[in-house]
Amino acid sequence: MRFRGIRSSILLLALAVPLRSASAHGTGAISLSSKQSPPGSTITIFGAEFAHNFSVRLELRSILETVVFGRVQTGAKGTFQQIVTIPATSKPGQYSIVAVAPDGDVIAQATLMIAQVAAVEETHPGMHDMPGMQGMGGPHASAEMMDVPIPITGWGWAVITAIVVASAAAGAWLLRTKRQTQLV
Amino acid sequence: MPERDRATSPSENDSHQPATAGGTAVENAPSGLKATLRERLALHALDYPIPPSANQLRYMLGGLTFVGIVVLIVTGFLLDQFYNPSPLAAHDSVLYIMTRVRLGNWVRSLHYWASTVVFITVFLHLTYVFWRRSYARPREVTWWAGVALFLVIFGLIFTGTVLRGDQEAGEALAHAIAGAKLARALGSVMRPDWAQSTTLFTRMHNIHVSLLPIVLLALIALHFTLIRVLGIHAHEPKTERFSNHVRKLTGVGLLLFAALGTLAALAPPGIGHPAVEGVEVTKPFWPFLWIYSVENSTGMIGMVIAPVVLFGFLAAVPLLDRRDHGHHRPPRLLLALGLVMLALYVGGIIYGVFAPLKQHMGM
Repeated sequence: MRFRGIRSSILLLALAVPLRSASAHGTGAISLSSKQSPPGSTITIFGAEFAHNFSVRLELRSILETVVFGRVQTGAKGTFQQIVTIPATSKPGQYSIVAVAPDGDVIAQATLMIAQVAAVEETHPGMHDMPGMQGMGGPHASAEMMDVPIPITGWGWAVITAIVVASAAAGAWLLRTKRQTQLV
Repeated sequence: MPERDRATSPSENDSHQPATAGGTAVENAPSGLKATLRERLALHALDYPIPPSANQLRYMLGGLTFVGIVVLIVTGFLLDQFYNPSPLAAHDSVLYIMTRVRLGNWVRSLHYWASTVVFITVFLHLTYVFWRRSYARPREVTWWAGVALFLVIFGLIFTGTVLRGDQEAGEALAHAIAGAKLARALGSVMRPDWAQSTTLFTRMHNIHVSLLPIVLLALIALHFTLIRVLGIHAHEPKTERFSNHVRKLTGVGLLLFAALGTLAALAPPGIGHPAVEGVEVTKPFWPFLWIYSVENSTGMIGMVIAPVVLFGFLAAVPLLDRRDHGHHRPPRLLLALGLVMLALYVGGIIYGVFAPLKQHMGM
């Protein structure tokens, strides 16, 4: 009986959690005035199907950086329109523009490609349609390696040292141990 | 079977294995964890006889290649959790691995150095097997499986280079496309228009993480099975247990891993700038420099001819030496041909290092 009560509680909890999070805020949809844009340019973000009079945070996200454009309030119809400027320092590549609810949930997103279109076409015409690597590339070809700062913490060095020393010790132990195995 | 081969065959002298009745061990129940595991995991099956020379480093090159492949699989699995195979995002995701993932740069570096070591050990293994004439009957298929493994490892290194998404990667992919066009129908799969729904770059990722590893593991299984059945090619009357060889190989493998870990920490590979199409400003990764050298004199057709000549020769080796047992070295003509191939291969790599940059596309 006691277990049945616990099971019922867990079941109710499991049902309640998704209901609660789903009811906190709905989702929406955003679209962009341009799907491809160079750094430093402006684009317009159109929002629709959001909750009425709802505050969302607009962000530009990529693997390496997140830029917060700011907050925007939806209208009575759950829509908004916001002009934003792409940072001039953004690297060419694929980005997402996301709408984030106050609780941190991403409730809408659209893909934006940042590319230095004019410079690329001027240097290597037709590059965007090159087979195999559509969209890959920047304006200047270079055989040099990038200067990438690699942050290695003391913790990192300790883990690497431990793995290396443990492997070497285990290997040496296996090689030093003599066994009578000759079958002849 | 001749006397020298019989000594190394596992088909005889298996008296150390436990007696069985209907396939079930009839020994008394073992006591202790070690004995229990030994029985339950059938570890006694690893006690078959092999020649003691198998524990020498030159005989361990194949085993060390396998150790390197294990390191590659583990590190590759970790890297792929953070890698984005889209042409637009690939380069950034490698930068992300290098700068944001904990120990990411070390894991990537381990992957790089393990691939380098695997290439070197498999090359030395192949050379030593050729020198010892271990390709001869009845081991022809073992040899061919090894040659195919060498080819697959080339493929893995090539696709791995492309996945960096930097300038060298872009040029490598452009060369592959040009080579595929030269190969006509045979190269159709490597042409970008073969699949309209995705990019060739993304397909290269799929080939690197699924197709080639599956083929690699299947070939390793075939290679190992044939070695188990046919025995290690050595001319020794004495034998010892294979389990002892595994122990020693594991020991050397762990030392190798420690060396790789140190190398990975002290000399991590860099990454070039994102690829720009239509220009050639880099040379390929050093295992491919011999092809680059051939291209310098023949143009793009060299990248098709050079591999065909090398792997054609390797595949033909057992067919060019049909002598029976009793010979420990390849015949003089074949040996001379092998030395010429080796000189061209190593010489091509050295030449490629020092040769001036040259535009091959359109040659």
